Amino acid sequence: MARRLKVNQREITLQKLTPMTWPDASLGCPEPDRMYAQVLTPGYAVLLACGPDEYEYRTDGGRILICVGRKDAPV
Amino acid sequence: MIAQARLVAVSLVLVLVLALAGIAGLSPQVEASPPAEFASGRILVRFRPGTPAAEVASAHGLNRGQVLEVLDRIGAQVIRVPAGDELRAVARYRANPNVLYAEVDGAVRALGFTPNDPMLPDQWGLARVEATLAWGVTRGSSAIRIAILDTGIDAGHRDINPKVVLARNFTTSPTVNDRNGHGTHVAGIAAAVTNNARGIAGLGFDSVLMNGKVLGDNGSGTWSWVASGIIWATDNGARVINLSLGGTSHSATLEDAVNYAWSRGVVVVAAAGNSNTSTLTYPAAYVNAIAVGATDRNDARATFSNFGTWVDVAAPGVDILSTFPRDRLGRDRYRWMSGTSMSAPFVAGLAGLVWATQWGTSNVSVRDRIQATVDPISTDQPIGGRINAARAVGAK
Repeated sequence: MARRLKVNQREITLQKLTPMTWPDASLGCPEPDRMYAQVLTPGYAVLLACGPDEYEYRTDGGRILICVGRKDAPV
Repeated sequence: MIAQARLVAVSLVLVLVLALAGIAGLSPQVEASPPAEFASGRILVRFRPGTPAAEVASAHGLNRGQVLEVLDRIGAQVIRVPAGDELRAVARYRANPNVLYAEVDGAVRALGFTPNDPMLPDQWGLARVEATLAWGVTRGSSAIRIAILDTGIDAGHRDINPKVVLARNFTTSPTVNDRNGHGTHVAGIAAAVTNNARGIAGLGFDSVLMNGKVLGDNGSGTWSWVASGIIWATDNGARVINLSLGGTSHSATLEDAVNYAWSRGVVVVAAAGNSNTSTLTYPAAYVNAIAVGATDRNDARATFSNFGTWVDVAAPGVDILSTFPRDRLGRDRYRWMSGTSMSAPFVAGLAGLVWATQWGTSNVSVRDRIQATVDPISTDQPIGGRINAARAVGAK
């Protein structure tokens, strides 16, 4: 994320790390034109901040998705 | 001469013993207690051979009995009596010296079949739908193909492998094998190799599997991949298609594909979704798909299961044990997973069994049978009744 935003890693702070059970393989961020495996998926919601901007990433331990916040945020 | 006389005497004794035994065989039956379940308004009576017809008619008249049927070969009569009076009528008939025996028309049940898969005791969902009772009637057939359109199937898993008769990859993944785990888990629920003294049992028992990979290794896929998989499965002999996948947007292409399968006699089963909402999930919400919601061990709606009158039936979907892709050393694995993804293959496996019964004349008949034989359950939101495999195949 720091590399993509072209900022120093120290400028990025972990705001919150929340264990989650996502409802399906979309990790709660479905794209409207796709199909997803309908299985409960354990993972985390990771809230990072860079200055005034916040970015929520979602993970199932393998994949990392950007979901809430700036959609052009780096993955 | 003496020896001959002894032989005659012994023969006479033998004849006498056998005659007495025969008489004993016609002695009134002594019944300790009637069966717990018996037919309402009917009992079984046999009169002693040679009882005059007038005395038989008189006995029926005294007991308000009406002969419904005579089992000619054994002389027993099926007698209609007032409902609720069965036990008293039996007692009255037994008091008649012309009656050899009288008894209620007890309910007889199939014995069922318990396979030797060692993890069966952990498969609570199979117990809940009374699978072993169903398997006493049918174990399906290797002529019945269930297409699993999913993330692929681990072809080398020894509790799955011999079942996969056809495979095709519709995704951008380099392999038709399962790198996610979802598809292998779903496949095992529907039709893992059963009674092989290994791992789990699959509800579809002898049904075989088609591996159509329509979801990528991350568990998602496009409408066109899923539609292509449905058409491929239909054109290659699938009798059942399982879709443990969904999205919230309608796709005309996807609906056309479901209709294509249905119009060619395929039973299409789809997961209702896991968002605890009544919002429609596709393809489950299409009219030609059976939408499946999830229940827990107590027959309650799973907290995550989507709901609504558009959900056709429910099936176990919480903490379901099934096959999982092998580890790096090639060892078979098994996992517990939850979701309507797990519920749908229970229905797909059951459809495979029903296809092998007298109700397996068409996809309409199979679907109707599954939906007509559910166990009613009391849920906070509508998700249909919970499937009962034993009832669906006529075991009870």
